[in-house]
Amino acid sequence: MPTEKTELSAEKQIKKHYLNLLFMLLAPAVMAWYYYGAQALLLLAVCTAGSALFDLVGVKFTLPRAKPPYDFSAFFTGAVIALMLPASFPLGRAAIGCAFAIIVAKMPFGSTHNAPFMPAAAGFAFLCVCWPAEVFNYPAIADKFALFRLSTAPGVAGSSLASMLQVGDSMRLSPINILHLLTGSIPGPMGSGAILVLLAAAFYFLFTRASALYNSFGFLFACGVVAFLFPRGANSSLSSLVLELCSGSLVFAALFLVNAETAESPQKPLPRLMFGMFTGLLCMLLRYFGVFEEGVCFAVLLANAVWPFAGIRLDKLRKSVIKPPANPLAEAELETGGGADAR
Amino acid sequence: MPANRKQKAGPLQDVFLKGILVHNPILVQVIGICPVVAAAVSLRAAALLAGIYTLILILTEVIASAFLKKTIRWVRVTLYMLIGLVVISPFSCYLEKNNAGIRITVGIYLSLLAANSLAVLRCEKIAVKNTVKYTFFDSLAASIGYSAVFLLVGFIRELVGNGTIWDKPVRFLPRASGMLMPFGGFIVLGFLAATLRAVVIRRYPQHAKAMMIQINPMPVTLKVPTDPATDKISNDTAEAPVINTLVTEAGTETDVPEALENADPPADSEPVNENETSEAEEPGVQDKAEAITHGEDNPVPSESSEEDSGEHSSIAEESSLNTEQEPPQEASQTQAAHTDTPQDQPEGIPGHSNPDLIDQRFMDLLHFLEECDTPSEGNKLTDS
Repeated sequence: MPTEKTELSAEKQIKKHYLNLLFMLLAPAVMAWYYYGAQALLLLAVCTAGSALFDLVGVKFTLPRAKPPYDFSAFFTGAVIALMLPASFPLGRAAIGCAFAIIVAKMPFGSTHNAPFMPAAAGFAFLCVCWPAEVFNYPAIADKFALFRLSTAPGVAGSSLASMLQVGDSMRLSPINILHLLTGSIPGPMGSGAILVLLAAAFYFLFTRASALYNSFGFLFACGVVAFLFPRGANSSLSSLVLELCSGSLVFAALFLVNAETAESPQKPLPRLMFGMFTGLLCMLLRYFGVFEEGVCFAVLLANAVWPFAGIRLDKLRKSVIKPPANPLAEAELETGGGADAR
Repeated sequence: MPANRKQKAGPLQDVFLKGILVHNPILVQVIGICPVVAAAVSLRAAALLAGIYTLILILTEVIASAFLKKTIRWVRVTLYMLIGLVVISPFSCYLEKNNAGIRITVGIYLSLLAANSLAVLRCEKIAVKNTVKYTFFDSLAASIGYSAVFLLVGFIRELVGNGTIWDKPVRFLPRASGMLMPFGGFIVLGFLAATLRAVVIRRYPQHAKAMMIQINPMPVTLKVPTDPATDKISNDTAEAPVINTLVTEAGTETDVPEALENADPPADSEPVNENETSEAEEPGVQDKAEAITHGEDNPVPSESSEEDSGEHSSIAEESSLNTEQEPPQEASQTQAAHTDTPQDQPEGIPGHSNPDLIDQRFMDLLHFLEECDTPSEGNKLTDS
């Protein structure tokens, strides 16, 4: 029976977890500001503030007398949605996506930890389904720094690396290309293209919540294996590996979506790894055969839906393969007395 | 048992209250949601489907109540679909010739209304067991409840997904075309169901329990031989109380009869049902019970504890749970006694749900259908 003290400490831990995640999201946000100007910050502000507002209103509406502890998960949801969008995305529609994430995917279940689906993935998937033209049309990166400019270049269809891979274009890798890919200076989602910055965030994750990296590692490993074995277009296996991992929001999703703590997310290292690999496999299948160039949010939602059943089956399989000792006392006896007889 | 299945005659407003709100076919009973989710993408299409559906349901139920009470069951069910087809065919032909657009919108779901599960269910549960008058009002109430949800879903999805109301543009929000997809229908239905539940709990609290009962699983009775005199298990066969409380709240609360707690099961008991019943809920229940049973706070130093964890009934495990003051030797004896009858236990992976669970559910369904098939007297509407 959990005491009041342990409950309080659990609440504090959840709060600290989301504050850590928000701190990690600062770096991609700064990169988005650097590449796309103040418009990116405005989009980020609208999404985070909108999510928090919908969260507060929802709590007041559904639980008028209760005062649930605030865990900053709504801020995190809004920030993740914003950073996966192009900087030119309309602000009102971004707010609708955040409203969907909070009102439909989170509020009916109480909190993010009780929700069966990752709210940010649900919100982004809703935006993808409703306004695909706006979600996947990315503006060009500004030629000169314009940190306070409240406008971006218009979005261009097919300008991102993921869309080029989807139509079968190939690319020869060079040091310059790789540098552009790693720093995110190519058209794409405003906050999820800078791979180096995201790797730094992963390094921070290593010290704050290392267990969650099992999901990320499994996810990226599965994506990498599929990309290496089945390159799209005329790309070589190695090029395909680099391009697929650096395109879209794959690394960003590996850090912030795949390892999210939902109601049915696994807790132990091996299930976490398997969950990540399962999500990665789904993601690559959606990328290869799906309608949209980026299917990671759909993969996360599918994994959230399927994992409770798949996890039970896999756990059964694991326990049937690794059988426990039939008689522990007999084994203990064997180790003590029986061992002497054997000798 | 048939007496429990009888429809209690009540005042007319009670019939309508239950048909529209408390036992709403879509939002509470979750029957016939396919056309709502797939085809109710505009108010016009929803109105068309709701109108035709109302006609089908009322006609089918009244005909079933008036003429089909003594017909063989499988013939009756076929006739329900034929009645539906007779109603739908002229509408379908008319729409194809005069309004092809809406015919394309409703698609195959117009024809599928003929084989609607709700009509068959209400005919079998209500119409063939009641008077024509009662059946008419019941079908009318159900139709109103169904149509209201149909129209509401169509209205919301057209407004949000298409930005129109009855094809007239309303511009106050950007069009979220995703709501026209089936997932939009499910979301709207979910919120409407929650709203209905809140309304019933607030306005009609006396019916709130009935709504809960509608969505609970069927009670599974466990036949355990007990001796009424000593309250101990004996060779006499008696029907034990329903063990749903034990099943659903294994980790928190156990309403296990004392006879089950204090005695060993005989060799001719039916532990298969016990085990499968305990796992008929969610898979985590068994794990919870195991975690408590074999947890650090309450270790069971039994030699066969690993083997017993999945092979024996959860009731036996729970009985060892509840007797915390019982010496460990006694608990181990209890479990050891259970291992004496391994031939009665189901095969499965220890500590996990039985893979043949679906068979148990199927058997429960068969029992339920048999009970439905038993004849019962018709009801009369006492108040008009």
